Amino acid sequence: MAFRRLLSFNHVGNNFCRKYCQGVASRDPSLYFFSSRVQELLFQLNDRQHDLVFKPRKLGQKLEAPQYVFMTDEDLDKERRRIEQRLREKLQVPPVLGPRKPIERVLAKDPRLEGLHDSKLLCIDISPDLSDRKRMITAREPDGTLRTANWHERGRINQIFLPVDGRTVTMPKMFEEPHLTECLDREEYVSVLDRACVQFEPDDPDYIRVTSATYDHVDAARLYERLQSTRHFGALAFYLAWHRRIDNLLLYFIQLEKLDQAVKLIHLYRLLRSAEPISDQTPPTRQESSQSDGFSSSSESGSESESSSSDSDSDSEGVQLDIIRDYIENASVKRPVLELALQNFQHLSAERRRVEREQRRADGRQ
Amino acid sequence: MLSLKLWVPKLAGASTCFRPGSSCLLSSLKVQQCHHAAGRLTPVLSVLVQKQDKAVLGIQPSRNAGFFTNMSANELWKGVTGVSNAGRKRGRGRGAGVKRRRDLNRGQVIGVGKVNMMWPGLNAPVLRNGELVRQQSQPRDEQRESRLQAIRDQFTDQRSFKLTPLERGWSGNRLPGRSIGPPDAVDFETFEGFDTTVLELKTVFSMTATAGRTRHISCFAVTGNGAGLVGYGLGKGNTGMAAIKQCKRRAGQRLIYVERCDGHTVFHDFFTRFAAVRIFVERRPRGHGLQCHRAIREICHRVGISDLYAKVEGPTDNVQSITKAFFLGLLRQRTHQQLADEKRLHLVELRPEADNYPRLVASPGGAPVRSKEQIPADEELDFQLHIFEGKVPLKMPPKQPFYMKLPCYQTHLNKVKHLKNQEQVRVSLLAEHGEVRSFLADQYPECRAASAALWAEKRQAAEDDQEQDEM
Repeated sequence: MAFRRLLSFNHVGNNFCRKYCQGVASRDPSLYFFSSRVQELLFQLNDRQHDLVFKPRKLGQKLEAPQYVFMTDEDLDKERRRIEQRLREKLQVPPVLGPRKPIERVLAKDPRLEGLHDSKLLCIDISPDLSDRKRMITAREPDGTLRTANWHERGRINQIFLPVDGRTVTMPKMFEEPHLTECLDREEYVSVLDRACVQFEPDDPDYIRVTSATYDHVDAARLYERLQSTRHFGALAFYLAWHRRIDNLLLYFIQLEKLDQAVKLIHLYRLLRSAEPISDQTPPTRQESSQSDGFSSSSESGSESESSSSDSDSDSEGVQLDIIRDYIENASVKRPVLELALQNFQHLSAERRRVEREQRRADGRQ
Repeated sequence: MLSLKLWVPKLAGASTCFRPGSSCLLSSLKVQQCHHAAGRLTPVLSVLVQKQDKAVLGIQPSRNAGFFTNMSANELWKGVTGVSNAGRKRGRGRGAGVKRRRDLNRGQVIGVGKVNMMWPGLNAPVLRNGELVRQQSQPRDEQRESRLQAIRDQFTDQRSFKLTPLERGWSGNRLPGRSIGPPDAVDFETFEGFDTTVLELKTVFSMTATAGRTRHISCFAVTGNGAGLVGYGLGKGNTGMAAIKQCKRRAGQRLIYVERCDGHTVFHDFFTRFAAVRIFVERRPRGHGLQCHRAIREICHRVGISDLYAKVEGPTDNVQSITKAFFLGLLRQRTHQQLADEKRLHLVELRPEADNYPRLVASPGGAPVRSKEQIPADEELDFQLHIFEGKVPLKMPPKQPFYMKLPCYQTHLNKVKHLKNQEQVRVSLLAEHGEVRSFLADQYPECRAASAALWAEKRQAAEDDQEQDEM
């Protein structure tokens, strides 16, 4: 706990937030985020453990006894497919956009209206078929100026007349300092992020600030498993890759012997580093395609370590190690730590292969 | 000798006898009338005559002898507490309200009484240091009365013991609902982890040819180890202890194993009956508790079921029938594996709080799973209908209060509509501003609640102090 307090990210978070807001070299993350290759990588990076994704949620509802259904094999397959679809929906990553630009625009000036009202008046078009972002909201200042409402006013008025469940009109105090830091120190990452998703729009500077602070805290504390099997893990991975700070997460994957995840993370990093935004038309690189072929047969959860003892696996493991070594040598910041972790992994897997070979020989003799 | 004229009121049936008191004629004279007729409870009146200077000042009646000095303690107590033979057969003269005899001699010493005197030879030595000890009156013992009373009260109160809430049964200090410990060990079986609860303890009578009405105590109890093993037993005996012993032994001898789902509830809803008792049992989620008849609750505690709903219809006081019905239902339960096997289909669990994730609970063991074509069109695939074998428990809609149908109810709802969210608004105002206030509070400070203003000041003062301390 003391370690984490030393690294409380008030100033560091703001620093990175400013960078994010400006964009690293003023790039817009949304141009990269929505590409299908990036989306697929974000989905694959997630653990996707069904127990955690579909865990029973205590939302203050009255519990009922579970229902039971008799199913044939076909029914079961149909359900499994439905679950895969539902999994995709539940693990859809909240969109990463750059901070929104001001939209205030003066429509008319009427100095003769000055003194008519002593407070600002806001008008909103409450037609139900309009999008909240597009509906017309105007403000009449006390000095008579008619202008379009700014984002803050828009948020408040939309929430008053067309409320979103779970959202408050004014920003909850937990998103202000020092409460936000206290929440993060208590490791309540998922509840902070969930509430931020409800409260803010993705291009709200406050949303970007809160989520950046949370991801920084998670990264500093290395508590990535808290966000695993939630939709926020993909956003965390994107954030770290965007800001070129994937070393801690890479170390985490190597220590857990999840080499395929490590390779995917490096791919994501490379994709986000490219100067041009990725479009779905650009063909994937040779490396990426070979890796995806090698890994498409792996389990959906992606949490298994290397399967035992066949040569093809050791070959693919060799390719993975090459990619990781290449990144460590060329692009990493924490080179010695990562190299050591990789060495340890190689020792361990060699040991494991030797033991399995000896066992097979012993079994063969018997 | 002066002649004294005395007038003594004559009482019916009393003969007079004259016994002069002290020899001094000028002192008060006592005349006693005692009755010779033993057993007759006529009061004896003695007359205290105050005489001074040959004038009779007054006559004061006093009773110094009567039935309670002339009868023995046993006879007196029998009179007060006695119950006739017929009454005793009916069980009268027992229980909480009965008068108990007290030994009034306890705490008393011969020679010591209300008047605290030293009687040489009785409660004092005759000779002390060679000298003759004289009769002496000593100062009154003030506490003697209260001491005697305390001693007497000690032995009077019925030994009613207090039970802690965890030990308590269903009512008072009575045994039903209370634990009587595990069954006694038999050979190698030590009944470790078992506990027995009495469900019924009653006095039963039967007419016999020889002795007429005979009385026995009947005890019905259930025993279990909280992990599925449970059994019930009935014992009868002349005394309560004998009946309890027998029923505990029998309960331990007749154990059954009950399967539980996830260790806390039954596998599915079921209906069961025994004699006139019908029970509808429903499975409940973890944390719900035991919402059922108290006898069923005790049985569930012994089995290890912690969440259940059960509705008993029919005679709810017939604990033995209820127990037997419930046991039958528990035994007839089908586990998930059994259901999958008998249907030859997968059994899948859907929980609404887990987004209806299909959790495969059981697959058929021996035979392969049937396909859609192999299932006949008229086969019942609905789980509830299969469990109840085509029947369905009738669920009446919950009864609404009479006034909800009346038109004035709508008027009432309209009137209180604006108060519906009041609680939530107060809470959010307190969270945001620290007080319940309106948007006009800044402009018109007098409209703030007095307490709110006071606490705001205190908070401000505390913050200022804190700032000063920091500085």
